[in-house]
Amino acid sequence: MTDHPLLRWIRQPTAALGVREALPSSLAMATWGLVTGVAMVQSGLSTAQAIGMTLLVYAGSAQLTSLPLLAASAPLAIIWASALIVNLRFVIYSAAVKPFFQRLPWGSRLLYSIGTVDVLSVNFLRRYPNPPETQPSLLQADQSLAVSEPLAYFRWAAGFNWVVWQSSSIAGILLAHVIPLSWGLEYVASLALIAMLLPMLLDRASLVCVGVAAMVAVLAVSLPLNLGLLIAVVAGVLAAMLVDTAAPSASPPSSENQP
Amino acid sequence: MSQTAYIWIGIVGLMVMTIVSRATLTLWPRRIDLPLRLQRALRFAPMAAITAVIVPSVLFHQGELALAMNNPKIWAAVASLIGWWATRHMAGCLAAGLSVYVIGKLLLLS
Repeated sequence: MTDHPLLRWIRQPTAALGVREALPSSLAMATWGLVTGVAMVQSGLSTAQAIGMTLLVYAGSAQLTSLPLLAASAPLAIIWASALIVNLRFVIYSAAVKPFFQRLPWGSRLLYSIGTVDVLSVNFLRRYPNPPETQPSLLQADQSLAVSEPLAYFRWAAGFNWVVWQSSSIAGILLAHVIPLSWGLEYVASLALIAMLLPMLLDRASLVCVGVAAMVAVLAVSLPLNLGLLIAVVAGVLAAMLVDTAAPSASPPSSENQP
Repeated sequence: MSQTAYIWIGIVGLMVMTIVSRATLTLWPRRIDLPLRLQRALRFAPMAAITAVIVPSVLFHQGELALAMNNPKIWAAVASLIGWWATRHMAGCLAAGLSVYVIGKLLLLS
């Protein structure tokens, strides 16, 4: 009785917070998922293959990148390499969330990691900008307490995002045959991403980051295997780092204006 | 290799790429001590990545820069910005972008 998930959830306020913060972007995410579902079928995948792809791969941008290549029967090594490069941004996110997962068992860490998608990474890292190890004053037991709230936030938001993505994607797969190709639906995915991006731009560092990433992405657009995406991410992060006044410098954190 | 087998092998490989990119660092047994400043800077990575996906899709058409006035994608992107600015709501942003895109497609026939 006391272990009922709903009761546990109510007692863990950060879990509800995670879902609440994932809610606004779910409309844009569902649109993106729907478009990806339609695109998979319209590029020639069977219904079973498309459902298999959404459940197994769970990476919208890598899926959309690989679809034209699969349709053209490109060499698999090229398809995988180009997906890996599109996905390299997740390596950067996972470096940022790793400190929070450190104490989890192997299987849980794998599941949490697979849930580390774009929108969740943004929300989570905004909510918890400082990695847990930066609190050296805490005892060992308090350390695990310090990550239990962020982990609850992450778990519920990740699960919510997964359900939104998979259900909208499967709806797109099933509806694909009644939606004409000429609608240019792929671009709707970009409009959904714009709707996800704009609310993130809260400070000067974010604006600089996005401005630099946009310029570099345009300049590097002709590079093979989507390398331009990776270079744009690195350039955007470096630019943000230069102007991010909130970041503590190399001096001891106590001397900075920490909250 | 049949077309069916080719696609399934492709899908399984893509799954491996998802796991490799999202879980290699987190499953790494040791702690990875990045400088705090870099760790904080990494929170900008998602927005940079999303930008780098969006901007080429708005400005390019089949690999060519398409800055002409008859590119409905640009109008839709501008409408999204205005929609967000006016409503401060993700749904308003999406609605503005979508409606201008649909109208643009119909009017500009591109």
